[in-house]
Amino acid sequence: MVDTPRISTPPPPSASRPTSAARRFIRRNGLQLGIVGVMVLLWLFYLSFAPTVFASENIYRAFMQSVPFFGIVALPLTMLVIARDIDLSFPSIMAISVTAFVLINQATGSIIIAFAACLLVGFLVGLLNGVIVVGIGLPALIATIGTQFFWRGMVQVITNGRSFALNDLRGDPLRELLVGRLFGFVPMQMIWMIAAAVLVWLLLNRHRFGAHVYLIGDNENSARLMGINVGRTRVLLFGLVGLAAGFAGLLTALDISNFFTNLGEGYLLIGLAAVFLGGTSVFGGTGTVFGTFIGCFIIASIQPAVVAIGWSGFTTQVIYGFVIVLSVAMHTFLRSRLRLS
Amino acid sequence: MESYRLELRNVSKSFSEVQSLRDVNFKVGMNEVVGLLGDNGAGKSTLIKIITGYHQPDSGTILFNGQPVDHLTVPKARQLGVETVYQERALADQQNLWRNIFMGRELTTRLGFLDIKKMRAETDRLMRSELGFTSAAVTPDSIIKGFSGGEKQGVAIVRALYFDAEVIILDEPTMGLALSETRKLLHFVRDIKRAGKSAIFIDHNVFHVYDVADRIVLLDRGTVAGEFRKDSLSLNELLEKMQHVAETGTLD
Amino acid sequence: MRRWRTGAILIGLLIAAQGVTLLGGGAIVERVITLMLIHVVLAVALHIFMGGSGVVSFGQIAFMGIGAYASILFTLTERGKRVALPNLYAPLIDLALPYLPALIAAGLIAALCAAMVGLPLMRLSGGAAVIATFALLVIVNVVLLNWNQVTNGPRTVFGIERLTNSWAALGWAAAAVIAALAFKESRWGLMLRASREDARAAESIGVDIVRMRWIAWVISAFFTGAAGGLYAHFIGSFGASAFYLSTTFLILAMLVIGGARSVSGAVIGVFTITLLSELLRAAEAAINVGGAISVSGATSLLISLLMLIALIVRPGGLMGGREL
Ligand SMILES: Nc1ncnc2c1ncn2[C@@H]1O[C@H](COP(=O)(O)OP(=O)(O)OP(=O)(O)O)[C@@H](O)[C@H]1O
Ligand SMILES: [Mg+2]
Repeated sequence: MVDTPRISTPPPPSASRPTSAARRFIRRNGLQLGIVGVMVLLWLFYLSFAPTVFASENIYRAFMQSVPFFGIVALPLTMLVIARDIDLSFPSIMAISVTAFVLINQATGSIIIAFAACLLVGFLVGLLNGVIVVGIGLPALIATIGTQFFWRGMVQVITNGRSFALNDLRGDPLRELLVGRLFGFVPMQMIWMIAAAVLVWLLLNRHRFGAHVYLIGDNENSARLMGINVGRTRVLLFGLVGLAAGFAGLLTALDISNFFTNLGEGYLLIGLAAVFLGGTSVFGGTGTVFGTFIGCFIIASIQPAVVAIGWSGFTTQVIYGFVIVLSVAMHTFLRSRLRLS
Repeated sequence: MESYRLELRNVSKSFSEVQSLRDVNFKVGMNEVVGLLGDNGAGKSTLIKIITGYHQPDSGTILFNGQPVDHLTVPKARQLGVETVYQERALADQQNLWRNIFMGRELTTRLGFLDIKKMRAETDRLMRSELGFTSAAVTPDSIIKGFSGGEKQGVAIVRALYFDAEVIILDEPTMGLALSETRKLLHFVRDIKRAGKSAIFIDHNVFHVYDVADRIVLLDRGTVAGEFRKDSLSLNELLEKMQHVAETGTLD
Repeated sequence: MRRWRTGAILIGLLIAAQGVTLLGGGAIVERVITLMLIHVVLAVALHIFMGGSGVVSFGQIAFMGIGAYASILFTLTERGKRVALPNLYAPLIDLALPYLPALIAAGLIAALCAAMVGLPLMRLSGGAAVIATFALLVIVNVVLLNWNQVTNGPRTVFGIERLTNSWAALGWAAAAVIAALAFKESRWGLMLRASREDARAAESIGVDIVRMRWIAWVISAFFTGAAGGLYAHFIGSFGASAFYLSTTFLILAMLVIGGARSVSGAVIGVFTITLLSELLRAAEAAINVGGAISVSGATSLLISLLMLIALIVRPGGLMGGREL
């Protein structure tokens, strides 16, 4: 289903073959082109099978409204996976950060302070993940499933399982800035997701930090030998995922003007699926922000498409599952083949 | 008092149960090429990784230009002018050429943003002048996974030579090189000497070491078994000493 | 032989735990102990796969769900099926087996599913394996939630006869312990453990790692499926959400706290967590005079904290890979 060509390895340097600029472009961006191709094909497929849904602007507005809730986390998560780590706790970080927001807002009456607290809590909880994984050396998968349950439990204990209405924030300038409508049409969270994508892209591709992320994921030992501060980079990555989770959690709660203690629970799978579908390898060292960005929208399109085409709704989750298995298996396959050759 | 570029005094290092180095004293003079010889597992790589700041010694002191340096790290060592070709090459296979050349030492603008244009241009220049990649198929943006073993080694060597180092450490650099490439490499080492720099040269081939070194240090199971100036020892004598050390563990 | 000694000690522990129910305390103690023994089956089953292969699986509980639904297909009466599973395929309505054969059948069905999905899945290792087994858990959960004809969709199935008591659970727990010990010392188990220590070396002497993993995976699924059947007939009514992340995490935490590399670790982990959760519950009842503290929240806080502490202080778990 997902036919994503990998960036091909160059022919042996001795073989001199004329390479046109176009070919070089395709070779260098093959993965991204593949993902765009998948998206376009899917879109044409949707248009022909469910024209009423996919030819109306409503569906696109719905995408712009809901994709950022997990997309904003999937972007830094991509960097984390490139560095060969993973964070399964981001849904709970979303919830604990919003808990901080709600409590501080109640206590101080200041949405600005509450907003700052929300981001700070997200960042710190993320850093804590980093310290547990990097500093203490626990496997990220086990440690972050642990912290996932820890923070979810914390949210439940703090809130006593209650939900909080955030209706009185309607009309607040900060809320408008975060989840309002630009020109009365474009959901602001979409603007934030684009901003996040640009930021993460700059960090990953144009900044020393991102260069180190790729090197660490590719060969951590080499990175260490060449003097890269591996520990600091990895811890900071966890912090960034936490920060993004806090921000995205707040967007989610503000958009529906309600905070439920299970906020974020549904995003674990689609967040991961978007990253892997976007071409990032579980084995680290490769992956792109652009791929994840497109991956988010492909993932989000599956549900309405499945419903519109008239399959039963549960096919959606099954497809998410298969997307993950396939993308992961593809990288395993490619690796084993490359190692043998 | 004679001054040294760098010096290790009574350095010991162990990994859980294995004691890799025991009370090692080791010096590299100004403008001196030191050859390091020893069996597999003698501790050669451990020794140079202490100099490059990768391993912290359990005890002992490290001096650069006569000044003790405590808590040496890789970036600090690189600042002090140490560049290394590691035995394991220390490359990142899925990354492109320029990212490998500038690994850990990216050229950046003030805020840490990469100066990609400059790194590409420099890589391009190095490729043509030093690496001898002339085909159009290899560019600074080529992923190095497809390179041959010798080419990868070339990348690691050129990387070490690029940054104006004071001490260049070469840990089994001839591994995977063809005969002509090896000859070129030995030439490089002589150039280092000629340029007034110092080097540590590790190789299992005694002839290579004897060829380029001013002084030869024999390492045996974590201790220095012997130390000779080349001008006071013929190749045959060296071979005899090495055999003796291998059999008895001591020089005499 | 050591193996017999370990087996005797562990089964002795299980019997002792079951014996607690005879001391009085009534239905509550009986329920706590029964659930604990079911958790022993699950944790030991997870150990069979994880302890041997060193590959973390988030997918095992999927087989528990499969086993639970499979078992009630055999034990519900025709009337019961019409009420609890109104959309059931007609040929399945007449299926009927007594309790024990039904559990065995449930285990076999789970094992069969595992055998099929294991063919591609067992080729993966490390991070890829965890992500893929997690995806498996999700896929199975969604199928269970939505397969109206067999599971009655997301609705709770009810009216299941509560046939599982502490004796039945004890029997299965003992069987799982014996099977795990036997597997561990068998040729397959030894080869699998060799591959965990050094995959390349094991491969070079001709150990087919993928096949060894697959065998452990299928055996593990059998006991997990049977435990699903035990659970279904213990709880009496359940929905697909019972076989999802929280249970996965609970069992994983028990195993990690006890020590994933030994059967004793699995058993000790379950005992420890059960004891602590019950203490917490008692403490809460004592403290909680006015407003209720979220019990599930506090429990998951406690368990996750314990797991993290265990991982930090004793990465090998309480048993550190040793057997009793
Ligand atoms: N990171 C490490 N962890 C544990 N033991 C190590 C580590 N690095 C080296 N050793 C041990 O230290 C001893 C010396 O190893 P070292 O790599 O320094 O030898 P060497 O002289 O470079 O050998 P070779 O010629 O094979 O490269 C060996 O016994 C090795 O197993
Ligand atoms: Mg070495």
